[in-house]
Amino acid sequence: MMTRFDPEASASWLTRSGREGDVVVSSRVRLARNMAGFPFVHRATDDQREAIKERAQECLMDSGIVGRSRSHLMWVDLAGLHALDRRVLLERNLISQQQAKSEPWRGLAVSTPDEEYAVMVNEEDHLRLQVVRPGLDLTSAFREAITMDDRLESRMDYAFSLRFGYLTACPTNLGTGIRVSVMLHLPALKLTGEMDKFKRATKAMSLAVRGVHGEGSDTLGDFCQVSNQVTLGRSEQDILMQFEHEILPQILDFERSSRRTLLSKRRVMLEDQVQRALGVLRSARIMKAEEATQLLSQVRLGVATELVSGITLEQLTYLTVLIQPGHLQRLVGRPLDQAERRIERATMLRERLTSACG
Amino acid sequence: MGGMGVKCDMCDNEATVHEVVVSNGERRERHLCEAHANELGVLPKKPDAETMSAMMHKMVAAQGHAETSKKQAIASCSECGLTFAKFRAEGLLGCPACYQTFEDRIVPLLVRAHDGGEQHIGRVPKRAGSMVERQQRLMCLRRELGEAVSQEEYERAAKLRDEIGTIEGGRGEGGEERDEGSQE
Ligand SMILES: [Zn+2]
Ligand SMILES: [Zn+2]
Repeated sequence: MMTRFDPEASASWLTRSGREGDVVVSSRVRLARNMAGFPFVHRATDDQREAIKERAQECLMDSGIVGRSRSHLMWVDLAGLHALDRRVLLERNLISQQQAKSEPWRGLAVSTPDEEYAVMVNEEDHLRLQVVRPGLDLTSAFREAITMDDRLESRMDYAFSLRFGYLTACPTNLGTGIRVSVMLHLPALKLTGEMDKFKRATKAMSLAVRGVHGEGSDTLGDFCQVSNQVTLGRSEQDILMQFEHEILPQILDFERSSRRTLLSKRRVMLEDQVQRALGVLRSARIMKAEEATQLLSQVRLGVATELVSGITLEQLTYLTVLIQPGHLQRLVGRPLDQAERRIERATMLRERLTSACG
Repeated sequence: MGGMGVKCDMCDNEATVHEVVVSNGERRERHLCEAHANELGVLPKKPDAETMSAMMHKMVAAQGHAETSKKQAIASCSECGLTFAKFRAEGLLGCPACYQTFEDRIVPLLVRAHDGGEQHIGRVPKRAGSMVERQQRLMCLRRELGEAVSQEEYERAAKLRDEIGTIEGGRGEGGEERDEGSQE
C-alpha cells in the first residue's frame, strides 16, 4: 500500500490547543512491549524481524486495532514509503530516527487524521503503543493506551516475568514499560536564567529532559520533552498520578511565575523581543530552520502573555512543524535543496503570519 | 582503625568508602572500594548524564569493574548468545531470557536506574495473571502437603499430590515461567 502523508493533515496536537496549552503543547503515554519467543529487535535476524512484524500486524488486525475504517488505525509499511514521507512522520514524532530508516521489517500503525494513536513495530522493542493528546491530558492518554494494550494482549503472549514485569530490550524501560511525557514550552525559564535550576530539579525528581525529537535531540526553541525515568517498582497509576499532580503543577508554576516576572519587571525588553521576532518572521527572505524555531518560540511567548494577537498557540505549534525540511518539501510539492528550503521557509512564514498583530 | 590500607569487604582493592551501620542496636563497620560502594548503593551518586542510554552506559561500566572480582557467572545467554560484555558495551539485552541469565549482575543496575525499584509492581497480563494465581495456589498446596506428611495424614497427602500434579501439568499457557524454587 502506498501512502502519502499530507503535510497539512490535522494531527490533533498540531491543530488544537488543550488544557494548560500555554505551557503544555502535548501529552504522550507510551508502552513498551515485546512478544515472548523472539529475541529483542537488535538481536533478531532479518527473518525473525519479518516474522515479528507479520505477527504484530496479524494481532493488530485481529484485535480490531488496525483496520480499514476511520475508527481503526491505518497500517503503514515504512519501507514502502517515499523517504520524504518517512521524514514527515519523523517530524511529526510518529516514528523515531531509527524507524525512519528504510528496513523492510519496520512498521507503523497510526490513526488518521488525528494521529493520536500509534503503534511502532520493531523499533527498540517489538511494539510501542503510543497515545498523544493536545495539552495536558495524560489520564485519558493512559486509559486509551491501556485499552490498546488489553486488546493486543488477548491475542499475543508478551514477554513478562513476575519479578521484572514487561521485559524490554533496554533495562531502563523494564517493569511497567511506561513512558509518560509532556512536550513543554519554557521560554521564560530561559529568559530569566532559571533553566539550570529547572534541570537540577527535574534530575532530583528522576525525570528525563530531552529535545522534541526524543533522545539526543536539542531543546530547540525552548521546547523540551519531560518524562519519567523510573519504570520498575512503581505502578502505572502511581507514576502517572505523581507526574500529573505533583511534578507538572510545579513546573507550570515555575514557568508562569517567570512569565509574570518578565511582564512586571522587564516588560519593554519582552515586548521588544517578541515584536522583533514577529518583524523578522514577517519580512525575512531567507530563513534557517533553527532561527525560525527560535523566533516562533518568542512569538508563542508573546501570544501566551497576550502581547501578540491575531494568531493562536496551535497555529504556532503547527508552524514549528511546517518549517521542518520534510514538511516544507511536501508543502511546496518538489524536492528542495537547503538554499531553496530557506527561501521557501521564509516565504511560507511571511504568508502565514500576516494576520498576527503585535 | 585508620583509613589507610584497609581492604574492601568484597574484594582485595583498597577501601575508599567507610561507613558505620547501626541496626538493631548492633554497630557494624563497612569498608568498600569505590566500585563496590557504587554497586551496593552506598554512594548515592546521581548520574548526571541526560539521556537514558548514557546513564545506563555509565552504570554498566561501573558494574564492569566490580564484576571482575566476583566469580564469573554464566558467560552468555543460552537463548540468544548475548554476552554480558556485549550488554555492557551496548546497553541492550538480547532476549527475554537474558534477564534470568544475568539476573545477579543486572539487579544492581536496575536498583540504580529505577530509584531502588527491583520488583515489578503494576499491570500483569491477564494470562500471566492466571499464572500468578497458579503459583500462589501451588505454594499453598505444597505447604499443606508438607503439613500432611509430617502429621502422617497419607490420604490427604495423596490428594494434595494429585492436585499439585494437575496444576503443574497445566503450565506453559503463556508468559514467562519463573523458577518456582526461588519463590518459596
Ligand atoms: Zn571492592
Ligand atoms: Zn538472551
